[in-house]
Amino acid sequence: MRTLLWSTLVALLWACEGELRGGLVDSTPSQGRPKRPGTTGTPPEEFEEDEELPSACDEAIPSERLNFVNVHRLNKVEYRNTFTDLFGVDHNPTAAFPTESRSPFTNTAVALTVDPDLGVELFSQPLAVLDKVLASPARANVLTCEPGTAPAPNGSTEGVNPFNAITALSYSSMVGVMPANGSVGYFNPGDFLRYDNLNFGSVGPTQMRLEVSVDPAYAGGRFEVRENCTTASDGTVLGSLTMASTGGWDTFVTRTIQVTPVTGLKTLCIVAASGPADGVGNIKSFSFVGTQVVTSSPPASQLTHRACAEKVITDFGVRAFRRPLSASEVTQFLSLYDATRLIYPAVATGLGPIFDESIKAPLHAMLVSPQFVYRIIDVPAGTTTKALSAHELAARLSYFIWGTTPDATLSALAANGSLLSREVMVQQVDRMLKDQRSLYLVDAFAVQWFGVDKFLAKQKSATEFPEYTPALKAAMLTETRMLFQQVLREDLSLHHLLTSRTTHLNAELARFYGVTGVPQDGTFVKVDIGATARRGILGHASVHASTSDELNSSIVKRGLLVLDQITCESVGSPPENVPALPEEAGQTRTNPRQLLEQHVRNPACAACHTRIDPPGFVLETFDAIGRYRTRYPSGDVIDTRGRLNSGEDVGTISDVVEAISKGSRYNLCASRKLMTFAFGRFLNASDACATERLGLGFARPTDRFSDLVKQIVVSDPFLNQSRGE
Amino acid sequence: MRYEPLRRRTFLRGCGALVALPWLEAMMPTRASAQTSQAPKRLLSCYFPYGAVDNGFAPSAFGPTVTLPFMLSGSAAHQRRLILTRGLQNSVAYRHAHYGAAPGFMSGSRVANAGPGCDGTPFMAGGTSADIKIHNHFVRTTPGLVHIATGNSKCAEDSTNGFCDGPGSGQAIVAGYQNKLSWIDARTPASHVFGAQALFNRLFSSLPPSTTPPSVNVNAAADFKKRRGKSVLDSVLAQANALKARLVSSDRQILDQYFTGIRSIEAQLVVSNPQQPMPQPAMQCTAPATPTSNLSPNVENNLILDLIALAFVCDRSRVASNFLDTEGSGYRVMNFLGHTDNFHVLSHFYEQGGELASRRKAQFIAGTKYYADCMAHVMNKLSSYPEEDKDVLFNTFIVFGSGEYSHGYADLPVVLAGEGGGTMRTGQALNLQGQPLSNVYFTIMKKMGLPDSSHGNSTGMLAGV
Repeated sequence: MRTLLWSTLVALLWACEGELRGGLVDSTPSQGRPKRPGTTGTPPEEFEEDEELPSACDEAIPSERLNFVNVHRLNKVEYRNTFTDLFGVDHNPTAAFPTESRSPFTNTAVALTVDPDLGVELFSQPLAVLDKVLASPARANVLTCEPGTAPAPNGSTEGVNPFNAITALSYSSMVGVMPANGSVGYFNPGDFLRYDNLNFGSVGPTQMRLEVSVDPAYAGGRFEVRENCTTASDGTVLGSLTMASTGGWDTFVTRTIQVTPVTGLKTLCIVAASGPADGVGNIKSFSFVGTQVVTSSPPASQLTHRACAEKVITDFGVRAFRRPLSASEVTQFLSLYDATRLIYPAVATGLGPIFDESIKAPLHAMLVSPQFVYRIIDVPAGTTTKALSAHELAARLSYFIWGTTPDATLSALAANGSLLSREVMVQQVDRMLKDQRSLYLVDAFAVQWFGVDKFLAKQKSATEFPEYTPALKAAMLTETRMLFQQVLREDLSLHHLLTSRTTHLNAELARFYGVTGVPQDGTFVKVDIGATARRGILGHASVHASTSDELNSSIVKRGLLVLDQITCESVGSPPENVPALPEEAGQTRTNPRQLLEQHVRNPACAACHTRIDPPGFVLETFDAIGRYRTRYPSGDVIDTRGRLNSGEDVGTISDVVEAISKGSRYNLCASRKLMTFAFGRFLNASDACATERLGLGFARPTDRFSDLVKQIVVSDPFLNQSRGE
Repeated sequence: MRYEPLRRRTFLRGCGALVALPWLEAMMPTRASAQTSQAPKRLLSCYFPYGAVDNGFAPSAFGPTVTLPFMLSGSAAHQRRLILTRGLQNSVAYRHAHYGAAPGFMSGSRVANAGPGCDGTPFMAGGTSADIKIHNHFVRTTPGLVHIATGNSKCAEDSTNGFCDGPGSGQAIVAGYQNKLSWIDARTPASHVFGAQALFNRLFSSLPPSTTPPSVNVNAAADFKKRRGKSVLDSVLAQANALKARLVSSDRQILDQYFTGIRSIEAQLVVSNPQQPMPQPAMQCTAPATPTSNLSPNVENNLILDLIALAFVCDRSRVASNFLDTEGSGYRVMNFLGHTDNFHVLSHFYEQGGELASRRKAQFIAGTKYYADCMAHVMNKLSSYPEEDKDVLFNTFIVFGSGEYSHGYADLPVVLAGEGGGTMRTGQALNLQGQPLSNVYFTIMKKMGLPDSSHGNSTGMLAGV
């Protein structure tokens, strides 16, 4: 029986929105309700439990529509939170991102488009943050190893073998020289060649061979061989060669010099230390005497730079992409590291060490990759619908409840697959809601749901409302935020938002509300407010100020707030060309209610305004900043009486609250709001079944917020994904 | 080598160094006709919300203008430089008066539908707005031009939530879209920089500094960072195709938009050529002082129009789209005019009888007249800058108007101004009964040299201009 009642409600919710939004406004709504699209016959006016209407869950749900947002960009707050969690420090990368629209929440995928300005930010910010992080102690959060100078791992032949001939032209970088006939020439004193990644193994050579030439007229210059060099004058000198004539520029001779032995992977420079301008000598090739021996193991903490780069890429990759990287992804990022190392300039100011500057490239690429910027759910071609993988589920849970990337616990449960168990999911919901990070829901969900912060962006007349100070404004928003915090912390029902008989006030706001006994030190305390006009969120000044302009309250905006956000009886857009009202002879009525009642005489307007206006009339007891009042400034007594669309006669906030909370619409509506937020998209007909189940499980005002969250995370649309078209 | 007269931009860049030098002959076009100008053509679109009482912008008679409508009396000094219109419509934009009006204004389409509809159906209507098309046309030959989409600090105010029309309709409205004039494509609004400070920063803070060239070492580091950035970008783009191949087309479109977005960094990743000196900003472009914040909207609107005029003069920008107020921000009370009701309320209730209604009507007219006077302000400004033997206004197209009238889309209050480099026959009143607003923008696009054969729902060019 209960199911039948619910299905009727669900059907009617969709029906009303569909038809009214489409402009098919029934001018005599009391004579027959709008029909559900695709059904025949006239739904009866009254709901009776024995009606034979199908449950939304009885209908075949088109499975390709289960959940279809496969590419979902992180919004501002998610992006910033994710950066903070990845790096352990908040560098506010989203400061210059454009303001996001609430449609109805800022996490709605279709609204998260990227224009060129945002594109530039999404490219530039990750590098700016990496620059800061790598120069700070937070680097340990990214660099899970530091490159050592130990010999290559046992048996590794990584890098270039310097015991074989190396052609001089294969330099990694150089300063001042020019290639000439297969060799390198035009050395001025101070010019040099640099070779990276030479693997000397574990037994260092003592001799080096250089194939050089110099004209007799230019003889006498000197080359130096240095290791670990970045400029012409740093690094350690390993040996030097004084240039005796070889008989001519084109006559190359191999000279052997003594060198200090070095082991492991090294950077080497051949520097023209002194000699004539443009002619210290030409160099064709070089090699070291001996063979490469790679036998000893490095200490665990001392990886070669390349092995360390691979470790960093793998470790950071799984956190950035919210899943392990594939082997080919690791290879791609590692080759980006290699390529960057090769272009690292020999002489430059303003750069960090070569490892830091090179590892930034793959890290930057990861953070610009759509795999990071978007949550992508890959439903294979040929598959209509799939169950989410454990990693995909961890991300969906984490961004729903915390607005950030999965933490270590969630990632571990994803890695071993246990998150796929519903019991584990439900346990995680409990853990996550108890965690401080769930306070994310206050601003991301609750504040946006009711739009209670809209007043912050509105001007109010300073002459009419001198008491509307910044301190009062801040207190107004805090009161409402604390109401939802209470729901979260004490795990109450969402009904509490409407029906609460307590609220949180500081001295500032208490004075404004006319409440005494609040400490003067600015702290917020819980105050028993009873069943007065200040009861629940509808009594909050934040709501009243947000639904008013600079001077006047708006009956329509307040009525729409109740219809759109609390009972989900949205009436849609006004029709085109709303006619201005005809002039009436001798009309004198000028208070807002009378004006609106005049408007409602037009049948085209009446259909919607008979629903919109009554809750708005009740809320007229609060002015444009939420001050309680019984008369308009003109002296007219405010008439708050009206009849809700559900049939109840109301005159006070408490009447409205009682009427709404004893019916079922708020249950269903709150469920839909939270589901819309959880999925980051508008709901559709296919969600009706899931919503219906949710509403059922949430029917009792004693049900807890965590119950609702748990029902959402185990619902079909949460666990599954459709490929779309 | 082909001979070309020195481009104006070249001249402006060198301006700082040229103060004491004689006028360069090459700057003078060899065959400047009496009518058409060699100076770049510009487009300024100015938008205000909610239309006007009795379409107070419309002429009472057609042909050469004799008397200006009362609304436009502030522009009397420029009467011969106006084209008055009556009868333009933009019904294609209809969705809900306040949602469709601005997005449809320059796109000639119903852009407010946000891509995949609420039930997931890929839904595409409408497309690129005319200002973006024109900007893209210019930027191909003159890289570095900035597109301006702007308005005062209040213009981002958003009086409505986004919503979905329910199953089957495929219509999803994204909140804030009613505050967007410029559209990159049907689902992507261009960046709108609201506020004089933000616009100032966009236009003038990024000008290359006129300091001595940086040292070689700093260049090496900068070049390394640019080359690394290019490698990163290339690497991300190279991985894109494999990813896109696995996705359905609507998802591919989202990623394409992303890749287009991040590729706009490319211009900043070009390795500098030490032989080429850094371009110097033109003298005029060492622009005004940074605007202060918390300005009254009327002060800020004037300041923004001044910044746009300066950007035109300096050739920082050739296309500007400006909100005097948005459909969302019009819900404010115009305190600076002493109003007692918000502008949106005024626009609805002015026709009711009685003392209140007549007061509201007077206030609504005063508010619209205020907007009309903003056009006079920017015309004064543009005509104060000489250019060749004319002024900058001569080389500008101005489209000034609202995308709705009485909460509908017929008989829009729209007035045109500026000679468009001598291509527009100003000083007349046109009967455009029933013609789509797109015809205005299509006409301007053709006169600015775009190759397009139509725009939005255009049916042809305006006759007689």
